[in-house]
Amino acid sequence: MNTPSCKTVFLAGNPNVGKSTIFNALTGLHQHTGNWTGKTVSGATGTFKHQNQTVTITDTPGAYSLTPYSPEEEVTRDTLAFGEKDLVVLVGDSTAPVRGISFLLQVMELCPHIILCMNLNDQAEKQGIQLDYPALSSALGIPVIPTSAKNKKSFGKIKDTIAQSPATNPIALTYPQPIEQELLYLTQQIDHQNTSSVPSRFLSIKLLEQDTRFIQQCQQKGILNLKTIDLENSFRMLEMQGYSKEKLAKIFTAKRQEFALQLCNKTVTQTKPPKRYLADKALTNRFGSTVIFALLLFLVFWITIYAAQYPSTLLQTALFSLEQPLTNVLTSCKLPHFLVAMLTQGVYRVVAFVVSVMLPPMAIFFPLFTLLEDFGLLPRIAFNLDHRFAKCKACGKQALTMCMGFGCNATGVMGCRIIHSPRERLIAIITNSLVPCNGRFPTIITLLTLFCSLGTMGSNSLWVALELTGIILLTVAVTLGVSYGLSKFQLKGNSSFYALELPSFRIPKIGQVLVRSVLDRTVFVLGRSVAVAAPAGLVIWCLANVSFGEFPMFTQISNTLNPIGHIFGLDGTILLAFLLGLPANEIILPIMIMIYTTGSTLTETSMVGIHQILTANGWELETALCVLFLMLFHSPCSTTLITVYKETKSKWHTFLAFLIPSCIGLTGCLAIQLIL
Amino acid sequence: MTLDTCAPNETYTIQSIGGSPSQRYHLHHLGFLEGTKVRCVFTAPCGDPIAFEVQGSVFALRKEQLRNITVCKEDL
Repeated sequence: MNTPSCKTVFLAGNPNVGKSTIFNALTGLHQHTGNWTGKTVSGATGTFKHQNQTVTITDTPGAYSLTPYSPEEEVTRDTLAFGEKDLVVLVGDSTAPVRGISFLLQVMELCPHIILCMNLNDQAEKQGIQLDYPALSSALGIPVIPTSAKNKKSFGKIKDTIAQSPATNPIALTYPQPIEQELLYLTQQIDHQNTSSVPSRFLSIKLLEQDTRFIQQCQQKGILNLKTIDLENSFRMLEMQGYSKEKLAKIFTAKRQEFALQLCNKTVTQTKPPKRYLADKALTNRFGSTVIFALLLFLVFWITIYAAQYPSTLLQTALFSLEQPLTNVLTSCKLPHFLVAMLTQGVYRVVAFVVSVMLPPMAIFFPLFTLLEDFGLLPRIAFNLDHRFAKCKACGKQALTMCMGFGCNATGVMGCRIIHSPRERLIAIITNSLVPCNGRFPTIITLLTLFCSLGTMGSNSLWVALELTGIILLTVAVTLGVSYGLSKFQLKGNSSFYALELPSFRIPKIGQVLVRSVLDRTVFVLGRSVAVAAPAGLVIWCLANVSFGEFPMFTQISNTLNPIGHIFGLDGTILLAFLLGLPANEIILPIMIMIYTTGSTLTETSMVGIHQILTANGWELETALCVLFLMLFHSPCSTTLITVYKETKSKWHTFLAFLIPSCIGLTGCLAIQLIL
Repeated sequence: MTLDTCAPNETYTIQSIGGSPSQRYHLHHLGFLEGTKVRCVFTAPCGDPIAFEVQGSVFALRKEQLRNITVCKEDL
């Protein structure tokens, strides 16, 4: 018998069971992982080779059932129902086997070629939960593999099982006799017209369950033709035997859960007493919780600021001392003078600034944030803040997407797919840019260090961290305020229902997470600085040195922008930097510095040097505060705006996402001027 | 009694779930079904939402949602 040399496999399972971790381990790709439900919101595909086979594996968003409640669950359902596949690997959580097996039973009815992978085995052992894998396997009729991220060999077992094309003989769950009878009739009727890979029995169940959306989709795809199926008759027959439509809608789920529960009673043993949730109780404590989280935030910021100083100083000295030698080399290559200046004073200067001042804090903050995420703190933050979001008639999951915004606003916007209600999703999307993303932190830290701190460099970091913590709390308050405003005036409505899952805390592999994250971030920022900062530097240098008429274009632009800038306590350069920095927030300050120093050789580039450059160009405390405020509240970057449009498909809402932060920023600048 | 009046660390058996159909089905799929046991494990700082352990997982629900879930207390 020939084994096919190419296979297509789908990964499916409840949220937060480790699908993406397994996906990453098998394909070598880097899907976003972390200990909270809702990270994967779209499918991703990768490949791996094993035993002379090429396997294409697709990761799907977590779903609690094949009847989707929010958009990302719909992606999973559609992928499983309509995607071409050879095998489905269903990933379950060993610490919550009943739910995983319930979902397995549902997916089994759709995809009979399926294997079960019970993940987080190490967590289950810690909690004293033991699964009898052979018994599970024989009861379910499919291979069951125990896996855990701590045990690399277990992932190898998945590859082996996939490659071996396992014979699967999944049990067919039987429902009460009257229902089985109607299912048989319906299946026969559907069989006549069903040429798709969706099993007819699955379609019959969906018809009786009244999953209207899925049925509509099947009709559109030509898989089902309701006109040729006597569905009403089936409902009538079942009604007569005590199964109302109401009851039918939930009996299938109930039976699956009942079976799953009975199976787990036979095959799962719990040797430790029930969990006491001490850590959770501490983090959600009435009196201490706010303090604990504020303290954690402060600690993360302090470590970022303190640790970033050293690589930053080193890089600054190294890179900027290279500017003159670089100029010399390029000149000796007989390149025209303007080209040399363009490359050194334009491109090199901006990129060097991004790498030395912007990169270190970004490369440190992001990994720390990832650690907190992997540990499982985000759902607790969402849990604690839910009441405030409820008061704003927003969804508590907005706290999760808001936290994502601290990493990257575009990711935060996409993450809003985990919110079920369209109205609440819009609120979360529009307000996401009100929290500063990773790219804005270095500028905020630099400005605080230069203008709002006391004492010498060492003691600065504590004070700056404190101020930064306060600033972040301010942005959270503004998010809540704007959400409230949107709920009241633009997007009126009531809070929708949702359940937030609070997964167990997991100790991440700290070393591995840090190293991987630092490398990933560094590569990402470097890539973006080449793609975005370099061209921006080029453009500005041209503006500053190319003249149409008497003055360089830049002077003309500056003269136009300066008066506008002064109204808001800024100047033309700052405004231009914000405008040109639309593609990426981390290039705004570098562009400013570049413009201020055009024409001169950059020698002094330490923090002190930057301070000198800024004050020499008219900066005062007031200017710094205005720039700081504008940094927090200004238009989202272009990637975020594009993502907002893609997610909302609405020009108006994208415009709101642009307008609201910009207005808040500019109003704040006016207010600062009035106060100071 | 309804689940919004639960006491911490107590276990309850669900008797019925009200609310809109989509809410009920979503709860079913999470594991909240008639006859299932749930344990109240901890609450948010201001008392709302409340976290419940059901079939090995922990889910948080708001009080207004919990008012739709009728339960009886487990006598151990």
